[in-house]
Amino acid sequence: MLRSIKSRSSAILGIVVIVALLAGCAQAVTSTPTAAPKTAATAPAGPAPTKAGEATKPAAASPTPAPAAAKPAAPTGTPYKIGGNLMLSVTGGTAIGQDYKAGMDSATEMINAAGGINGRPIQVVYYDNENSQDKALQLAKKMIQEDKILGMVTDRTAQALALGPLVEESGVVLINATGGYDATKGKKWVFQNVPREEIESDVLSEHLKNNLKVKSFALIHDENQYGTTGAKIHEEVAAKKGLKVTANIAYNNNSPDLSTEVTRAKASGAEALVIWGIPPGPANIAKAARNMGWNVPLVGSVATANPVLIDLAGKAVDGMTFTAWFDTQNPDKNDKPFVDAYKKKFNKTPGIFAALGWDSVLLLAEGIKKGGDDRAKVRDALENLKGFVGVVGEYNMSPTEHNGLTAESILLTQIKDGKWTVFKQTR
Amino acid sequence: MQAKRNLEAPVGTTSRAGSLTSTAIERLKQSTALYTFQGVIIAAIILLPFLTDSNYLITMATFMGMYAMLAIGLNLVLGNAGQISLGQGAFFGIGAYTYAILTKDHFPFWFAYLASPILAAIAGFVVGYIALRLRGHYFAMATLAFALIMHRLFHVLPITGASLGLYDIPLPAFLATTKGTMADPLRFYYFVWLIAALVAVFTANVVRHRVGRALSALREDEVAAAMLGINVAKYKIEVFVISAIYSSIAGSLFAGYSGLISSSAFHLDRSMDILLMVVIGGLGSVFGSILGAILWTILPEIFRMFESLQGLEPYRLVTFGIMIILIVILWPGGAAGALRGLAEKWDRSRSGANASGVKGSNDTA
Amino acid sequence: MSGLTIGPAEVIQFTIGGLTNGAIYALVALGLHIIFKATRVLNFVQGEQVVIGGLLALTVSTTLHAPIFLAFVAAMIIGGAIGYAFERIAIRPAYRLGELATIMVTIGGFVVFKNGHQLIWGKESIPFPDFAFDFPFSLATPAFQGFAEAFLKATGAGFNPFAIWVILLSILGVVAVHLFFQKTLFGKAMRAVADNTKASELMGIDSTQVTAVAFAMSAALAAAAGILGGPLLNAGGSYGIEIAVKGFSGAIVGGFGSSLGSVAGGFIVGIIEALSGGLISSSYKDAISFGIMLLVLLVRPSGIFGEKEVRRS
Repeated sequence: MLRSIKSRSSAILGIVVIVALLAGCAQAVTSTPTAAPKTAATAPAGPAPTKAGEATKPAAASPTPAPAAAKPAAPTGTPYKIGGNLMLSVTGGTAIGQDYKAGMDSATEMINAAGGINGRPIQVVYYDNENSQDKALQLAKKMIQEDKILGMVTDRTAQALALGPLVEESGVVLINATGGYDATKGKKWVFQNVPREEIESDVLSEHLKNNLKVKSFALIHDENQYGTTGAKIHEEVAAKKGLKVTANIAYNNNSPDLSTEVTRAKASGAEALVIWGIPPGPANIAKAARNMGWNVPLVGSVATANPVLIDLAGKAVDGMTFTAWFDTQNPDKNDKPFVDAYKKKFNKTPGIFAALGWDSVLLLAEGIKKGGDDRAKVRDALENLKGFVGVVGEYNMSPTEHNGLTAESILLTQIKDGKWTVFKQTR
Repeated sequence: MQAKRNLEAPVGTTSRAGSLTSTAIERLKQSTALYTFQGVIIAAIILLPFLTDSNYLITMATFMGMYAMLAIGLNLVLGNAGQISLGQGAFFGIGAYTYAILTKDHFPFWFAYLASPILAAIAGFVVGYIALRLRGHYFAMATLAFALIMHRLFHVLPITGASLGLYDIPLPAFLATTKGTMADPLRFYYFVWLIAALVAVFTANVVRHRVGRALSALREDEVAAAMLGINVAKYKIEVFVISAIYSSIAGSLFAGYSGLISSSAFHLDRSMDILLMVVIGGLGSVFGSILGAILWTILPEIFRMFESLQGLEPYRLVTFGIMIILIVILWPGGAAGALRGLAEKWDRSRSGANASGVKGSNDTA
Repeated sequence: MSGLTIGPAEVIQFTIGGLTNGAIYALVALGLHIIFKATRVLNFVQGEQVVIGGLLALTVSTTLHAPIFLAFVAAMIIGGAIGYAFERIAIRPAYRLGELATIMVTIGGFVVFKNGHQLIWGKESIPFPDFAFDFPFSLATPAFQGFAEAFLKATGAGFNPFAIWVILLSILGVVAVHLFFQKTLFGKAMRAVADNTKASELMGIDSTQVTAVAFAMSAALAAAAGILGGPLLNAGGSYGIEIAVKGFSGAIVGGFGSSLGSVAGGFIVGIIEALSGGLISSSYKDAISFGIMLLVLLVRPSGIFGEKEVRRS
């Protein structure tokens, strides 16, 4: 009896598989070789006409003015395509890839609502590289050859380093929208939109010395590449500034209890604790420090300052200070379009990864505006970009400088009574 | 032709079938259709660059060749020695890091390509010598522990570039583009598959002529095999070392081709993936391992290859998991077993009723 | 780094952290043990069931506004039901194909569960309430506050109030499972099946029912681990495989074949990890704890507390 049920259900399952595979094969025959739009970020000729009037404002406020600023026409024609080579299916507590996509979606929507670029819409082709370099490489080739993208965005430095040679040889702009390591070094086609760790460390060190008045601190960092490289650079920069780094400890974001790491930091006799990582880890660290009665000032790197931190750590992070690029609570006029568009679309406060996604699209759009469908001209336009203000900061690129962000782009923020506030403008 | 015939070596048939002659007749009978299948796959691999100009597909197929080597190696351990190894990803990593470290230090390429398998062989011998004293699950667990330790070491040791990994890994000129900074897609594709073919042919012959019979015997009954004077431990270690060598060769190719390696590429997932390839391809069959690598790579990509399926993109990985379960349950002999079954059916229908009693070892499809 | 002063206070602090993590590992290890005992299979789904347990509890408590202890029980029941269904639908057809096929199905299940819960609940960690102060777990009593303060004063080590519940409840769970195996008829039947399937079937025990219940129990324990670990790990995300791996090493160190052994192993792994992380380096703590697991396998494959059952060739 049981056996007959079993075999029947297996037969059904088998049929399902076969149908699925056949559907795939049948499609193989009919699909045309020309690349058609993939996962469209926005419908090319979307809801622009009705929203055209409202769209003037963000367009004017943003550095991407529509062709006719007064009355942007709906973008028409073949979209300009850019690629998102992101780790969409991988999570590490913070859905980093999804955040980038959200920021990129918001930017694309804003640009298209304001009339697109040169009257044509912009479109992002997303692929999930599962945080695997084999997939990232093959998908990059797909984007370059089949989707004919004009520029690519990646959300992990390791991927950017792996794709470096490919974009150099194929002649496609790659924006490494992450920090941790300078991937632009010696590269003609690679750009980066995160202020260098040296700059951030500089600001942080000054902050520790002048604002918090400490002489020593312990460093706890995520054991991933972002945390490890960042902490290493920070240790060097701080030592040069005369601060004593009493401990440099790695933590694993997937460990439940992180009190061991905090105890070690505490035992090193530090006057402050600097956390270099991405939530949820920093939340557990803050809680562990407070539970063991260690009440030194807590300081976080820019990725630590993710909106979710307050939800995760509650009172433990009250008074903690951070480096940041924008103030989520009271954004200035450059950041407001981004914060508003994101809040409207996703009904939550944007974090830094969304900001990076947003800026990446704006940068590429700026390049495309001047370079059109010519990849080399897009690159040239980006390389000569001056005084372009995004959410992260003001970009001043040059042939030897493919990052172009200075200390000006870094703010200090603080959590006060469960809310983000600006601590003090640096310099 | 000899090589191709050897690719399909249903291990265990010799020990199971009554006499050698009947086996030979059986194989002749079932051969035509099966060889057609194999021929189609081999032709597809050879002709792929002429059929498509998609760099995406060629790149995917290049990685496929590396996975095929990994799968063939594990299949030796799993299908022939009957041991579940979860440590293949670590050998893959040893090969990749050895190649990367040496070439970045300006050692000659031939030296790097030689040193990778040698180092992996030593590691394989040590792990095999120690772990193969354990049976069944405890062997699997020991290799799991080994894989986890190696992954942690890759992740934290300064020599492996810690969490950043190693990048700008050089390539020999004949595999690189004219600029020399990245792999030439076509040349590397054929190079990888050439090595994979050598691995396959070597394996088929090793399996057939040397350790194959002994190992099949020991899979059937270890005590009996030992009583027949087969040095069980020695063969098991030999097979384990060979699998480590294959994995490291794939690793050194992987490092050169991707240009960057970091610890996440050699995590436990990798070992699990290789295990999946072997099982969905077919245990004990070299051809099956190749099929497994192909299936494992293509199945999750189907959603990206065909436009009509792109709406299902978010369900891609869930569907892949379900497919794995279904394949394991419905095709216990893997894809190779299923094909063999199909081929037999086809042959039988052509040759009439006189083959009615003959059944293949893995026929279940 | 110089100037690091590790004294008794720090060691106590490390031990508390180790016990907290160890309690979670122990629950996972116990679940792995139950399945191993009943089916001889390594269950790769375990870690994802931990994640799903946490998510279920969170969903029940937020959507139904149920008190946390009800959500706790509900998540264990639903989690157990998922484990039961998984065994019935996917694992059962694989038994006749051998252990390897069964393990492969659990790997396939791992892929399905991991991506499935991300589809349902999203990819972001969801903050999990710290229920150390909720009924009936409330520690907001003067007595407890006094104890915590006195403890901090006396030892120099503080602790997350919540850790007390993690450790106590996991020990409670372990005792319950142990009593179930020793005292109840069904538990005895499960042991009989594990020892000798054929003989127990001849005696009229339904072995298929036993294995399905084993999967359900193990999934319920995993759910408990997800809830108890919730305030530390939050709900959702990708920690499943890491927790599963720690559970594996706990079960191996203590003894895969023994329920008390695998639990003790979970605690041992937690403490080894904390001490090696605290005294040596947190970068190498995992390599050290996995190294100890390898060492145990080589010296005493059945685990520190396991009965010797491994035949060597």
